[in-house]
Amino acid sequence: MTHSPHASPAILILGLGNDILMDDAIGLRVIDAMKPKFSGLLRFEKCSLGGLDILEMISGYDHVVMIDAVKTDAPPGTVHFFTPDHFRQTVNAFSFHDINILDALKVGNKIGIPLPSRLDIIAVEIAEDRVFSERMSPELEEAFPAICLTVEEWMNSNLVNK
Amino acid sequence: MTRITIDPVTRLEGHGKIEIFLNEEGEVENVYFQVPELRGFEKFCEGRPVEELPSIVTKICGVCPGCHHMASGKAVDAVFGVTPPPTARKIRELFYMAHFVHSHIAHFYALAAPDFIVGPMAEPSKRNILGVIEKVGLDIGKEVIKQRRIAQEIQAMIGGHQTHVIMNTPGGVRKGITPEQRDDIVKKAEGFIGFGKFSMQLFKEAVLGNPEYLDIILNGPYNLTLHSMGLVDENNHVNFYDGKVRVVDTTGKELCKYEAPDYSNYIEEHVEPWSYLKFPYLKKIGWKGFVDGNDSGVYQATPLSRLNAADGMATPIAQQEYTEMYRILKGKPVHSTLAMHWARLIELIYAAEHCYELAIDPDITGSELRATLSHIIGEGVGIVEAQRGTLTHHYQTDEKGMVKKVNLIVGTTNNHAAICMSIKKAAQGLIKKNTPVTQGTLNMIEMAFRAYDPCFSCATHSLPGQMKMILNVHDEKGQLLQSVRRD
Repeated sequence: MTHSPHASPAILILGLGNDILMDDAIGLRVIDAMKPKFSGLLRFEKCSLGGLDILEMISGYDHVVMIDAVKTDAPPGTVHFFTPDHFRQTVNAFSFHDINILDALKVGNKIGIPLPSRLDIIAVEIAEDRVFSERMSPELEEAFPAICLTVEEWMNSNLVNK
Repeated sequence: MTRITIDPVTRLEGHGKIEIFLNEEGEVENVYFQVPELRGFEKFCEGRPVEELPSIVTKICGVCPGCHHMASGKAVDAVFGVTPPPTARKIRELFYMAHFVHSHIAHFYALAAPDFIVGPMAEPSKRNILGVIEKVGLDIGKEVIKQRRIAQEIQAMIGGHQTHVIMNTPGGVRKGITPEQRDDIVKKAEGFIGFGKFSMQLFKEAVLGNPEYLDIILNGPYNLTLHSMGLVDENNHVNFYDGKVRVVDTTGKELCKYEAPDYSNYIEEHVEPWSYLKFPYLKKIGWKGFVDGNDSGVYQATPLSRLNAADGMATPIAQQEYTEMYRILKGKPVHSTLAMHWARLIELIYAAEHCYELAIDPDITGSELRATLSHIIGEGVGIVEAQRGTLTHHYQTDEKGMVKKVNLIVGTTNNHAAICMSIKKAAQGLIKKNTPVTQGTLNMIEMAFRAYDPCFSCATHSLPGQMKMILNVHDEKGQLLQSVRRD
């Protein structure tokens, strides 16, 4: 996917996920919820890509916020705020067809693809992402309004009203 | 018994996990490759109109969605008892060749090349695509990204979306190709051929020209003597989109050749209690366990298997490379696991050449895009070659075309038993008594696995903050002797 250069500062909110793998849809669902609230102020996109493909999506923007699923020890619905400095590696490295997002960014920088100077990652704790379903797990459906409120407040503070 | 675990802990329940068990002598006794499978796809599809499935299945996997879309499209054609007209079939194939180009480029440069161009024993921080770019130069790095992107642009142009493909409809495709699009694709396909030839040259210089690497390919602990499966056309040439499934034995003799609807007469699936993923085997031979040799029921379905199962390639440059590979490796079939990388590059060239052939075919801009539907047969099987193996979609519907049952045998599933055996063989060759296990050993065991380009859960991802890989070595009393971490 390619896009034309943007007015500066150009901000992209990018939801990542798979909408038929239960909680892996969270990034996409949050985008759907946020888009009407920030209509005309921010640009929103959804995708189910990883690694090198992400470079094409984020190239040309000054600031990108990725929204994605995460699974650690925290309760489902917990919202984490990361930057690339928080990661040394991501799980995408274990895809045997692609490279992890951090290495993709390094590749992009190395070969001169215009990449955002700022990258934020909003990672939402999930319960289940290995079961095919168009609905999220009960835990995440219940937590969804609170997740959206947290993300909305962050966006207002960091992107709109800063 | 000592246990060594290679466990990339990417999420709490684990991802793929390799467990190696040593005996009291410190030799590898057994290896288990465990995969937590994505669950419930068959159930998820029940009750849906079958024509929805080609679009749904693109979300099974984020890297090979086109493969699932093609197999599904063919299965749906069969459910409706129709054959797409020539223009529609060629448009599907043209998309598919671009899909193969993109995927094979990604695998070679991002996953295979680090081992060979940077070196299998190199530091992990260098043994990746960045290390490859450092060695081959920025211009080549840019070309890799560019060619891959161009292939995906063709996919998006023809398929409606580069990932969530929507082109297939029962009996054909949703839209045609304009003369302007065709001209654009022709130029791009010429670029693919050039890049395919370049990549092959790079492989020959960096790998075949390096005696150490050639020795690893020919004599390393990576040989497995198994039967080979692949789709072939009427001339027994490799075909990714259509044909019959041909299986040859370990000596190259044809064991069987079947059409899609007959697959269940030839393939059965074995279950082990320690793995979610099943182990397909050749029904007529039977399940004999995790053994290789001509009496085994285990087969491989990989790029190398496709070349082994065929009598040649259908395009000229790929055919030259095919002939040369078998000459250098001293005959056919070849059973060296690492030769899969070589075969993959031959396939890249074939996909590029066939992309060009299809683009200049006068039918490609035709207007007959879809067969006329009449009645519903109620059952259909679609088989294609996915990049990583023969892919089967089998659907059963009611009289209205609502799905009752779905069965998939995905590319990597065919190879599950072979992957376990390849890892075991590599481990047995590399882990010896009193020899410490290093990061390099870990990587060389993984090389046995990576050659298959396996696909288990590409569509999902999460961010735990750190990908851990831990290899623990215990003595026969369970006491920890050594721990190797990849942080």
